[in-house]
Amino acid sequence: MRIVRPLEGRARLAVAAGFRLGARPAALAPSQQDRFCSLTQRAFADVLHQAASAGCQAFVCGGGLFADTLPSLDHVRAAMAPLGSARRAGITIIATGDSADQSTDGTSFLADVGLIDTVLDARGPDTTLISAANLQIALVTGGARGHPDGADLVFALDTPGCDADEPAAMAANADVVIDTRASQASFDRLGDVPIIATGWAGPSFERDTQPGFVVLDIDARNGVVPSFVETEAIRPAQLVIDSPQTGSEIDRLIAPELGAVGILDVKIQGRVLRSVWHDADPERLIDRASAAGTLLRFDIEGMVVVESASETGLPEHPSFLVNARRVSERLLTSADDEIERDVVAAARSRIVEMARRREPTKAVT
Amino acid sequence: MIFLERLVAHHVGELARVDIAFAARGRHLIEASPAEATALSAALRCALFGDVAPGFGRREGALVAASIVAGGSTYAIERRIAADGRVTTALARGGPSGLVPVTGADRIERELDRLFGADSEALAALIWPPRDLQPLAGRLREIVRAWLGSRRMNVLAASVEVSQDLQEAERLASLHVALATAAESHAASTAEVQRLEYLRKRDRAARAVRHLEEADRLYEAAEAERLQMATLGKHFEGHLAQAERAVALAHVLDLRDAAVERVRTARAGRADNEKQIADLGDLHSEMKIHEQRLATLERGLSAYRRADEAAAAADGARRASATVGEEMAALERARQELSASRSKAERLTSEAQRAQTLRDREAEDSHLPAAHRLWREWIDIAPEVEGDLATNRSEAAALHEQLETLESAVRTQVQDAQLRTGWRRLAAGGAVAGLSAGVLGLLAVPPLTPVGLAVGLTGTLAGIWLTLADRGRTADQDRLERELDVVARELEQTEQRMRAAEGARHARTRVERQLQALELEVPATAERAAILRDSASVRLRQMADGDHRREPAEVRRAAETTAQAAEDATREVRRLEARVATLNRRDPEQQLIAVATDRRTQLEKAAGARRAAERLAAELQIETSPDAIDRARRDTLRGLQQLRQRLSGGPDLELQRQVAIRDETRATNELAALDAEIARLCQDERGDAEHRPRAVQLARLAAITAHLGSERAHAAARTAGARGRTVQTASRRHTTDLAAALRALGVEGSADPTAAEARAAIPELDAEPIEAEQIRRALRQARDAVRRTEARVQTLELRAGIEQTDINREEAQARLDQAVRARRIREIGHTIVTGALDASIENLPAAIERELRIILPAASAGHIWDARIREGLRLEIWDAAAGTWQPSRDLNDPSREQAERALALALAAAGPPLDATDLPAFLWLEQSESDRDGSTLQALALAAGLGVAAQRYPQVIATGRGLTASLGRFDRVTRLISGQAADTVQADNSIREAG
Repeated sequence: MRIVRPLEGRARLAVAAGFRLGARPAALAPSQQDRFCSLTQRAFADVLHQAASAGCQAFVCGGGLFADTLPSLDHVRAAMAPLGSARRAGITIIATGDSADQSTDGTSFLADVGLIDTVLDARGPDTTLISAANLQIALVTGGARGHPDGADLVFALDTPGCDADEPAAMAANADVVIDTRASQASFDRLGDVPIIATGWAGPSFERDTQPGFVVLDIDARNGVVPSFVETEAIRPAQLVIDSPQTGSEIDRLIAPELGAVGILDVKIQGRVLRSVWHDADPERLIDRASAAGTLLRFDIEGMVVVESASETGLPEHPSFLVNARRVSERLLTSADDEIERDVVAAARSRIVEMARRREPTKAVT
Repeated sequence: MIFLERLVAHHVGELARVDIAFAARGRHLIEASPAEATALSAALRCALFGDVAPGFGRREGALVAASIVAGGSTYAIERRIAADGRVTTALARGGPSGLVPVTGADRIERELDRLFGADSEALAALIWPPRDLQPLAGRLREIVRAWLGSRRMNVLAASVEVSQDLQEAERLASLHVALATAAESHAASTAEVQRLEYLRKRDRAARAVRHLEEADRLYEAAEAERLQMATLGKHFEGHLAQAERAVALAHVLDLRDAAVERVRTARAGRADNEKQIADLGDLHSEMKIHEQRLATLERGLSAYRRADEAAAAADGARRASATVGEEMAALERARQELSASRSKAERLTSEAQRAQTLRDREAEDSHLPAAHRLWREWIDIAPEVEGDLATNRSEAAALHEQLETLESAVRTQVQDAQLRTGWRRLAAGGAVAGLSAGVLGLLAVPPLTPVGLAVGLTGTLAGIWLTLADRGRTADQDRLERELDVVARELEQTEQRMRAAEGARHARTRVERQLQALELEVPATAERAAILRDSASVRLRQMADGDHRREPAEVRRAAETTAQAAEDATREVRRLEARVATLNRRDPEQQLIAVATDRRTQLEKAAGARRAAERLAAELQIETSPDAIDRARRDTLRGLQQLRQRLSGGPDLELQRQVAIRDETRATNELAALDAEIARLCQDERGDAEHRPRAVQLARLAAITAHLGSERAHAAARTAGARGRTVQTASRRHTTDLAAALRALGVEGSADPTAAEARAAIPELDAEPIEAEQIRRALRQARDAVRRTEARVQTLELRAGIEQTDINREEAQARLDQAVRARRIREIGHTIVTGALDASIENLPAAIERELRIILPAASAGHIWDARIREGLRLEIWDAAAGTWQPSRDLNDPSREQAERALALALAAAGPPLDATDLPAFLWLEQSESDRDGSTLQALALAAGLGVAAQRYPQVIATGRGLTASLGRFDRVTRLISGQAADTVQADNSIREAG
């Protein structure tokens, strides 16, 4: 990538995705859904504020702004205030929308009232030009099919609703490929073309996701330099509880965090008595956390519920090979003489060798 | 893992034309009505497993297809459903050169079985987790086996199965061992019988020896007594015949000298003969040694011969192994050649296709300007042709109908107007007549006045009313006529469009005929025509620019050459496939194993026989080679023949000895008689003459006394002689018995053996004899044992089909041990397989429960946090409010659906063992009737991203309609509208300024 036009300073763009204002994930309890919804608004306002503070000339919102095509007026109104502030800060705002639905959606409404400069069709192909630091940047959705007239750089946006090719294929006609579909941010390069995954700036149901957005610094010397900026307002707090002995222990450890943080991820791991788990009553804890203004999320994938303290076995994912080895070990232990042990070992070797051959999927030609 | 790439459904169920591509990862929502969603699910099931739902398809062009990626290869499955419900399946497999069709229904079936296994229900449960798990719970073992791979598990089961061959081998080996054991028992019994027989014969000989010795002793005693008595009698008789003897004394003394000489001669001859006979005895022992040596040498030679035979057999096995090895090598070469030929055939096929394309292009190049013109005309005509002729026709028909309606209305209006005009005239006439009658009544006839006025007024009013009404009708008529004009114009325009379309169709037919006449491609679509036209433009430009072109003939030749080469390569591939199949049919690997086994056995036999021969040679202290043994054998045989020749003179020597004994006996007897005569004669000379009277008296007294003594002495001598003869008779009998006993013992000797000879020949003759009854009983038992063991040996020989002499006990035992080991390995393998499968099934509820605990909170919107799996995969939910376990069936409908669908998802995610075969990586979720806002569906889709399910299902596909977007997020959304997928929306590529 080579920038021919002389720049007036440095161009700086903020690219964010995954806000989904008004989202109420069905997998959450109703009280948490309200909490999640308010966190999306808080994240949107915070990201715009951070972009303005960072001196970005443009803000690109990929992947849709609202969860619903026809959002409620409350959610639109919640978006208007931060957008107004950003506009007053002189930021050009671009958002992607879905043109398939002919009715006017929330994004189009915001564009109509002048809070969003351009709404790009997420399905594409669609193009818009941004002027920043005397640089003409073309934002393209649906895959870049050529070099638009007057554009110094072509940024191809890969959005969730887009049916275009994968980022690797999109790199053929673009200077930068921005992938707004992945929940996790990442930077990669395909030849000379940077492949930038923005991640999601809003709260995510996926606990491992770090919310944030990408700031692109563009100058003649360094080209496009991406940097990831975490969404401060919804940074989740982490709490790990290892093998709690009582339900009240979980309660006691969580209580100080409720209301103090927006999102609290509680990871419970190790052996937990079923009675302890029942005493903890996660539903009650979630309701309490929601009432206190905290989105409480439990990660219990590492938790092993046992019926009694003497129970030590970890329920394992069944494996035929492992079970075959165990049966063989039992037979070996109970074998009376060396000959019998030798026979058991030979049988085990045969079984393991044959069982290791997975079902062949290749055709016999 | 099996990924879903694409799903196509044409004219099946509610679906008209659907083609959906799926990303390798993420959540994909297909917005469709319930009927469309059901049809789509059925289409996928039909494409994958060939299951045709009732009423599915049976329309013209009904087709379902799916593209999947399994094991790194792409598979395209296409199933066409005929009107009678018959399904035709086509399968293509991705290769380096693209999709390669798999031909033959059997191969397609086999390939699909290899992909999906035999139990499609088990696989389908992973794609569409069923709410009701009871049918699966009933056959959990079969389900787990299917997940592990039916083919793999069958191979595993077959490898641990104790086959009949194995049982037969073990039975044969055990028979061989039993036969060897029985042969040993038989040999031991036979040896025991021989030992007892020997003991019995030895005892018999011992008894004979004892009797003979007793008889000898008695005989000697009787003989001594007889001799004493005879001597006494002779003494007495001497006295009587003293004088007579003195005369014959000299003559007798001469005879005695001659007799003494004869005795001496006979004794010398007898001693010489006895010495020679003793020497013959030594020769016997020497001959025995030679015979033993000869037997040893014969065994050695036999061992060498066996070794040579086994070596020859091993050599034959080696040659056979080499032959089979050559077959293996040929098979491998054929496989390699097949692989190379396939690559070559694919390359040549692609080259042939390219050459054909070039040839076609060359053919086009010869008519390129015309082709360019015709394709351009085709494109120009296409929009007119593609105009909606049917719409125009329907519009024209509608306009015709409308026109006719309007014309009919206008005609009715006209007729109505004419009728109303008549009525108006009648009303005017009535009014004039009435008014005239009224005026006439006023003037002349008063009674007519009211009637005339009434009629006149009525007519006037009717006329006014009709006139007013006609005004509105006139306006309607004008409007109708205007509409009639408009419709007529529209009809004319529509007909003009139809005529234009018809003309364009004719023009396109003309163009297509011209294209066909020039053997050029007739485009099917406008896009294709544009491609052809642009290609022609480029080529025309290149031709104009003077690019190099190949001669058509050269291109044609190249195309024919490459096509021929491709065909040859394909034929070669077929030939090699047939060769590989033929070579495979012989199963050279098994042959190789069998030949190697035989060769090993023969080599072991050869080594064993060679070792035995060497041991025998070492015993004889000769060189260990067949030639040396053969030389030693010939030498030994020669020496043996010489010994036999020497021994053959034995009877003559014996005869000579007997003659010498007879001569000696005769001479001795004669000498004894002469000695007696001499003694008698000498006794007579001792008397003096002077004492003769006294001597006579005394002689008389002595004669009387001598007579009496002589009588008594002779009587005693006769008694002793008779006793001696009796004893002698008994002795001869005992001697005969002894000879028989010695012969029975195998001792060769004289016909009348002595006790001393017997003692010298038989060792331990004085051992305590065993009681006859006891030894008979023992012998009977031993013989019974011999018969039994012999019968058992014969029985086992018949059963084993081999003689006991051909069996090496160690080898047989080794084979038996090997067969028993192989059987035990398989039995234990079966135990391991069964145990592992049982353990996998036993672990299943715990694994599902753990996964369910992770999924359930998300699937139930945070309401349910614990559950447990009971017997038969029954589900119990923890009711935190009540603090009790609650069966899932007692929950309310939405909660029960959430719980049951979460359980099904947990089973699908955590059920398959970790080492299962390639399983679907895609999950197909459907919106239920009760899930109106799709919240359960979306929660399930989110829950599928948790725990083990997240790894199991990278592709989550959901079908539903009316989902609330705020409840969950999908990475891709495909909408079905009227049974068609509306994935792509064409949009302009306009550039807008922002900021």
